[in-house]
Amino acid sequence: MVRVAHYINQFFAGIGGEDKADHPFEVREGAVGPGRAVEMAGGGDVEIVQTLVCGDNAFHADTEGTLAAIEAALAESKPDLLIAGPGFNAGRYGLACAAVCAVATEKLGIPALTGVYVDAPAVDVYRSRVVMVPTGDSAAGMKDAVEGMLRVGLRLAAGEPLGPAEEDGRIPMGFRKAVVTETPVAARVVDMLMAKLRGEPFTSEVALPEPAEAVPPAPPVADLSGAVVAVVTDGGLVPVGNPDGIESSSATKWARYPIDDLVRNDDPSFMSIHAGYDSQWVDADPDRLVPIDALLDLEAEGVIKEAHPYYYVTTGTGTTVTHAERMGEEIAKQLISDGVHAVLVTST
Amino acid sequence: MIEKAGIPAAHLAAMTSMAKIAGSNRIISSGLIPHPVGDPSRSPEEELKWRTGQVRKALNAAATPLDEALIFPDW
Amino acid sequence: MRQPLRLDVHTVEIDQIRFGDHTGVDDGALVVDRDALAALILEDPRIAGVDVRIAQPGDDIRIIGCLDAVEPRCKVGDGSVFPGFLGGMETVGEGETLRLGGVAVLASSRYPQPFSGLLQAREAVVDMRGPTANLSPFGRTLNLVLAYTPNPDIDNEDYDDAIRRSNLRVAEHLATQALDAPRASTTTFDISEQDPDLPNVVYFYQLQGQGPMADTYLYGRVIHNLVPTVMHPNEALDGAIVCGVYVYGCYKNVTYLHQNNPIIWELQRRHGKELNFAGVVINRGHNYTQEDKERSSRWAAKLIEFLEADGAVFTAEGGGNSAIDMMLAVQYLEQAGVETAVVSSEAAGEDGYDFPLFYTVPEADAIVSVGSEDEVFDMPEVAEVIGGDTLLDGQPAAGPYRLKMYFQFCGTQQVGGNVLVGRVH
Repeated sequence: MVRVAHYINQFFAGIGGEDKADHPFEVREGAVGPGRAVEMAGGGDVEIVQTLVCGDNAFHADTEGTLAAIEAALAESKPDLLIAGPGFNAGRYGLACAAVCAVATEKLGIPALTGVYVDAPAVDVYRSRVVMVPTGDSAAGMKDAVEGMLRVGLRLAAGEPLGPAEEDGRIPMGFRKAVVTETPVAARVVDMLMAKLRGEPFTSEVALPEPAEAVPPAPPVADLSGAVVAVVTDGGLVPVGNPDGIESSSATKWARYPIDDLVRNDDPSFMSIHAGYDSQWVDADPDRLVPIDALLDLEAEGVIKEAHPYYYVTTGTGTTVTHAERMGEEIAKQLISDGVHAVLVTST
Repeated sequence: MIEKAGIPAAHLAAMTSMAKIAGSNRIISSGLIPHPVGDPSRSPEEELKWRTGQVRKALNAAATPLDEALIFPDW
Repeated sequence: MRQPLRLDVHTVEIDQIRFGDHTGVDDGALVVDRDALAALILEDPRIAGVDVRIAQPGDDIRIIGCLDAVEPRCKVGDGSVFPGFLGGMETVGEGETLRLGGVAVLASSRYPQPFSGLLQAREAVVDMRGPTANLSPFGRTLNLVLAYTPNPDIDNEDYDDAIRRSNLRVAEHLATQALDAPRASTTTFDISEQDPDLPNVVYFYQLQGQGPMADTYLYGRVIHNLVPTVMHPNEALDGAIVCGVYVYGCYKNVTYLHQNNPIIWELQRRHGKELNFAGVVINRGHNYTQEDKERSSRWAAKLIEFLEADGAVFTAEGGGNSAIDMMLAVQYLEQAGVETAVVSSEAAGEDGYDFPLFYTVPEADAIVSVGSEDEVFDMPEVAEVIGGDTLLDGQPAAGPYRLKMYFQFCGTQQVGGNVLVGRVH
C-alpha cells in the first residue's frame, strides 16, 4: 500500500469558489474530492492518508506560514508520496501545488509531483525543481490527469529514478542525463542522414540553442591616456602551487594576483594549470598570456594612465556557462569597485 | 559580463569565432591558441614589440564606439 | 572517384582468454604464455616492467590508467597491419586480414615524469561488471591488459612511443598465432561498385592533433601538419590510423576504435543498398587558430564535394576545440547543399542543466549524442584493480566513489561503440 498525502484548494475540496478563496489551511483525514479519483486509479494499492486543503488566496497571502504548516503536517504523516492538484491551467492554484511539491522534496525528501497544463504559470517558475505531469487545461481532463500523475508518482514512491521526460510522460525538467540505448550510434547517425536526404522528418538528439542574447557593447573609453587598464585571462596562469586552488578544467573559481609578482618573474614563479592547451610557451614567459610588459611600456609612454595592479584569472576549458557567467559578474563587480576603465581579455 | 557591466573589454584571442559566440564585442585576432599575445618564433625584443602592437590594437578597440560585436580587422 | 581496394577481414571468434604454456587459440579460447609475452615486451629497455593480466566481462575488476586499446590483427600473407610502426611503409586496406574478434589488448600505465598543463595525463577507468561497465566500450571486451612500468630515466614522450610500439607488436603477435585457427566469418569491405541511383555518402573523420601525447598517427607519422585528405575506409580499418591521444580519458578514439570504426562498418553495411559509401575525408582537429581551422575545414568540405557527396556523416575526437573544426566543415557543406549528420559529446554540467554543446552552427540540425563528459557516476567497490592502487587524484582506486564521465576510458568517444545517449529528463 502506497501512502499518499494530497494537496488541493478550496474549490476541489468542495468548500466553494472564488468567494471562499481565503479559506484557511486545514488538514483532513483521508481522501477528499479528486483524492477519491486518485485512490480509484490506484486500484486498491494507493491510500490517501491525509488531504491538505488551502484556499488559493489564503495560500498566497501567507505562503511562508502555509508552507511551514504543510511541512509540519507532512513531517508527521510521513507519506510515501505527495500529490498536489492537478492544478490544470490555474495560476494561483498551480503555483501553490508546485510550491508544496518543492517543500516536500527539498525539505523532507518526500517524492512529490503535480499535474499542470503546459502553459500554466507554475511551469515557468518551477519546472527545473518540481516533477510535473502535463494535463488538460480544465477539470474536464481529471481522469487522464490523475492516471498520468499516478503512473509517474508510483515510480517515484518506489524510489525509481526519473527517465527521459518524453518516455515518463512528464513536462521536461530540462536537465540532460544519459540513458542506455539499444540502437548503436552509427545506425542512429546514418538513419538521421538518410532521413535528411529523403526529406523525411527526423529528430536531433540535441536541440540547437536559442540564439544567445547579444550583450550591447559598452561605451568606449573616452580618453585612453586617463584610463586604468586591467588584464583578465582564462588561460589559467597562477603562482606555482596554485594557492587558490583554481581547477585545471571545469573551473568554478577565479582569483587575482599582483602584476608586480609577475614582473619580477625571474625564476619561474608562475605557471599555467589550464588543462586544455600546451602551456610550455606561457610557462616560459607569462607575458605571452598576460601582457604586463607591453602594458607597462605603454603606461610609461603615456598611452594609458595606469596598468591596474592586479590581473584576474580563471581557466576556460569545460567551464559551464552557469559558472562562467557567475565568475564574469563577480570579476566585473570587482573591476568596477577598483575603478578600472578598460579591460584586455586574453583567452587560449 | 564585463561589457554588460559597462566596462569596455577588448578580447585578444586566436579563436575569434569562439570569442564572438561567447558574447565578446571587441575582438582582436591574436597569436595562437596556446599563446594569444606571444610569438615564440621572434627574438625576445621583436616579440615584445609585436605584443605591444597587439595591446595597442586592443586598447584602440576599447576606445572605439560600437553598435554591435566586431572582429576588428587586422590593420 | 575510383576506389578499387578490397579487404577481406577474417574473424576468429574468441570467447575467453586464459594463461597457458603456449600462445595460440584453443577451441575458441585465446591462450597466452604470460612469461613469453612479458619477455617480448621487455626487449624494449624503455619499459622496466609489465604485469600481464586478464579482465573479462563479469569480472570484479577495475582497470585504471588506460592509455590505448588495440585489436589483435595481422595480415594473411605479406605485410603488416600497422605500417609505419611495424613492417615496411606500404599502404594497407586490401588483401586479407585476420582479427581476434572480441579481444582487446589494453595498455595501462602512469608516465615516468610529472606533467603540467595540457600534457597532463587524465585518469581513464574501465569497470568490467555492473552498470558502470556500460561506460566504456572496453567493459564489454575480453581484455588482455598490459600494465606497464616505465624506465624512470626516460622522458614522457619517449615512454609514450615505447608503449605504443609494444601494444601494436603484441596485438600483431597474438593474431599471427591464430592464423590456423578456425574462422567464424569473413567480412568483405569493398566500395568499388557505385550505384548511380543511390545517394553518395562521405565520412568526415576528424582526428585529434594537439601535440605530444595528444596526437594521432597516420601511417606512422603524427598528423600535426596534415591537410585534409581522402583515404579509403579500408585503410582506417587496416591499421593506417593509430591512436596517440594517451593523456585524455573519455574522448580518445583508441586504435581499436579506428580498426573497428562503427561508422565505417555501418556505411559499408548499407553500401549498395541505401547509399553509396563514397569515401572518407580525414581532417586534423585542434588546429591552433581561427584561420587554420577555417583553412582545414574548407579544404575538407571541398574534398567532400569533389567526391560528389549528397550527404556526409561527421565525427570528431576531443571536446570544445575540436568541435569548432568539425562544425565549421558542417556549415560549409550545408551551405553548399550537402546534407550532414553529426555525432557529438555533451558538456551539460554536473546537474545536466547547462547547454550541452561546446560550439554550434545553425546548420548543424542533425546531432546524435553520446552523453556528457560532466555526468557523474557511482563507481562501486571492486575486488581487484589493475594498473595501480590509487587514482591520479590520490584516492584508493578500488572505490566506492563518484567519478565523472571525463575519467571513463573512451566514455564519450564519438565514432560509436558506446551505448549511452543524452536525453532531456
